[in-house]
Amino acid sequence: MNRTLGYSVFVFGLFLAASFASKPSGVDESTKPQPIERLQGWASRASIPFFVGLTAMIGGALLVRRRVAGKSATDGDTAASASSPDALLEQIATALAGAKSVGALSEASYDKIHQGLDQILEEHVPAFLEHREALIESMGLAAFAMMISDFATMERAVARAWSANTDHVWGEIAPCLDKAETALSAARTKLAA
Amino acid sequence: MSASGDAKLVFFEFRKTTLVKEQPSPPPRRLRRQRRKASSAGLMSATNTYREVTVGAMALGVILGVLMTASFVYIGLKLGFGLPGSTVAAILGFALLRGVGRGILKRPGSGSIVENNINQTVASGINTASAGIVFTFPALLLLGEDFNPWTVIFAAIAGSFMGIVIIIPLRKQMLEIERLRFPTGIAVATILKSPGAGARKSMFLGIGFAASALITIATTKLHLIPETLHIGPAILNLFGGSSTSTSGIAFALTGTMLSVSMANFGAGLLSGRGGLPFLFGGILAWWVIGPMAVSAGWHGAQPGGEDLIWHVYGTMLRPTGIGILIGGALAGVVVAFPAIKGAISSLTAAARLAKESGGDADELSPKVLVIGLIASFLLLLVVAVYGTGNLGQSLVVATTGTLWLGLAGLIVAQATGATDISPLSGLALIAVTLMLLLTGGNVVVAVTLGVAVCVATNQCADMMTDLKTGHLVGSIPRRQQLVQFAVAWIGPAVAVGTTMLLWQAGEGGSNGFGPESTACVNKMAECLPAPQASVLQGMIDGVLSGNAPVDKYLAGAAVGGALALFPIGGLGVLIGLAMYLPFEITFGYGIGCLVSMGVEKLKGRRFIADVLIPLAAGLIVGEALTNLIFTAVDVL
Repeated sequence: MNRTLGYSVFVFGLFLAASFASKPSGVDESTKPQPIERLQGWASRASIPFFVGLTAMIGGALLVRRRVAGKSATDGDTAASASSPDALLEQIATALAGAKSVGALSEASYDKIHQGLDQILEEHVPAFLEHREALIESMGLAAFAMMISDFATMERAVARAWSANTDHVWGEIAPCLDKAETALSAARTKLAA
Repeated sequence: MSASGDAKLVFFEFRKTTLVKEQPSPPPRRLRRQRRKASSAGLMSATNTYREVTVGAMALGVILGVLMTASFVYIGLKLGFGLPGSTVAAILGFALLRGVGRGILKRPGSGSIVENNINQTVASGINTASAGIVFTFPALLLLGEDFNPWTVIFAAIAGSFMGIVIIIPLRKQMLEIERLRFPTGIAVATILKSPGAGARKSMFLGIGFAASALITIATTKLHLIPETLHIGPAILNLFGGSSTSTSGIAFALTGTMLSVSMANFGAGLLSGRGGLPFLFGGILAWWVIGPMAVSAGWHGAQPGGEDLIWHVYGTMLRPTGIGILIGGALAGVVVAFPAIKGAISSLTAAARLAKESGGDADELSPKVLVIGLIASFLLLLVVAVYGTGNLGQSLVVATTGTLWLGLAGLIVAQATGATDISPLSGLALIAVTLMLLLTGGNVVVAVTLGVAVCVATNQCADMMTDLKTGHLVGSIPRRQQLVQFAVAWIGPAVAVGTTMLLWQAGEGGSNGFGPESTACVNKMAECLPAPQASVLQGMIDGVLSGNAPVDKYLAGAAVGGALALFPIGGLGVLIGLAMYLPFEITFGYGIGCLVSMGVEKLKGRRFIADVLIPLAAGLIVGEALTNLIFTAVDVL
């Protein structure tokens, strides 16, 4: 209910404020008015509805933010579900371990490595990022930034391993997977904290 | 390798990344020779085995960059728009580095994915100056001002370096935290990864490419399909309405047009749900605010029809949109400050960790960035002093220019990241307006600093796009940043030089382009109308006579600030951008977003990755390359 109200108030406020922000100032262009004269002309014609709209935007935004924060507080109970952030990072860790367990890297291992890394990049990573907004609300922006930095390092290392596998540069794959594992571990620690 | 080199000049850093990883004590000469040979064959030491920053990639990138810069300056003066260099460079790099390098020259490992990424980073880093120069610098020539071209070159070089150093610290914020899409970045990464993408993905890439190329030919060359579909006017006619009516509904329908641009549609496909605020902003502007304004009689005595559309757009929607863009970006920085602080902290921590462990950091050290910023600022200050003759005034001008450059770069990078569309012209106008006010109407200094701002903002968007591509293919950001640094000075020199050459090609050594040039007056094929610079020239005349819509900018900025409070990132930038643009562009992009959302709901995320992304990438690349080929044919 709060969320719907917040959205409605915000959109109404946006319409009002943006419309009256666009309203012509009404000054006579032939007199070559100065900027301050334009501002005064506009204010006399549009300032009241403009500020009403602006206030509604701010109020609506705060309502929606309060609703989002409340929803995130109750979302913590779903941490154990299969598609929760923790579970997804666990799946990535499993996939990485699977890729590392292939053994000697060569043409023969190409397909297995490719499929494993593809699954991380195309499925697990996008699924984890679906939780971005909720994680920002629950962790706070600064803590989320530190965690996602490690996650992104893992992502980039996996992408590099994928590229090296495609280019048949076998010696590059293992160091990349090691780096990905280290970064993922750091991300999981920060997420748990 | 010690990171103490981070405090040295950039070209020392560059040298380190191209050579084999150094040992603590120098090895025997025989061993060094072996390593160089192994390095060139792509079979380097165990910790650095992947061909990435190579002489081949750099050389090809510079050649392509220089050629594209000169060509795109010509195209910009002729047609008024530029073309993306990254996609062209990626495709040519694929053919030359991989096809010729591996297939014909038999060099194992040549043309690797990350090596080709360096090639396209270099080429686009050079080419990006062309758009910034073409929009601003020719105005100085058209206005007949007396100036020293070297000041323009130095200002552009300063802007080029500044754009890179300002945006790099925001890489984590934009790519890792906000997860901006950068559709062209994704498209280029899709091309680079095509060798490993599998036959199915490559097939969809090809289908998208072919469809886009055919549609582009059908619209722009054969005129079998109109470039813009007048959907609203057709509906209006169907119901017996008149487009010359001044009712709100007539306005809404007359303004409802759709640009038949596959690249625009493809960008929407790649953005998906994240691009919806952009469509919302377009609907708000063209289906709500505009009709309401017309119904309320705000348009004055302006008669109905397309003239009314452009009047409302030009005097109400566009300037308010610019204000919302600025306010949204400024407020967005404030709201996101904890995350930006966290991102910069991790940048500093990573550099310190690398120094302690003797390894390479993934990012350029903050020290290098600070040195780059100070050096660029000093260059800009020297240019300002040369133009004004007053140190105090020049300090104010250079500082304001730098601050505006940073904000404009942020806006353009965010807008490009969300939609692939850059509001460069509006922001350049504000820059020139600000400089004119601060210098008391000194057009030469204002436009020269406007050149710096334009080049810098383009460089910001290009660097971020390239870093997005690099993130997707696994490139090390520091290497991309270094190579872009190394070549940042080339584009401005080539672009200014090409513009001067074309100007001096006119009769009597001047007037080689512009609407008043001999070729344009006589409607000859060689006419270069310089449309963007002509618009800026007109705007400068307007500002000098007091016509700047300051009320719209300020009111819009307040709206943009309030938009930043809503818990959707970048909302102010997206809605401001949508109000700033004609609806035909927003509409096409929005349809792409809706299609993407529908497909994901029906088919799932894996389908998006396997089919939609390569298809959309093909659409973007197909239109860009087709336009480039036909333009080159026309020009030659």
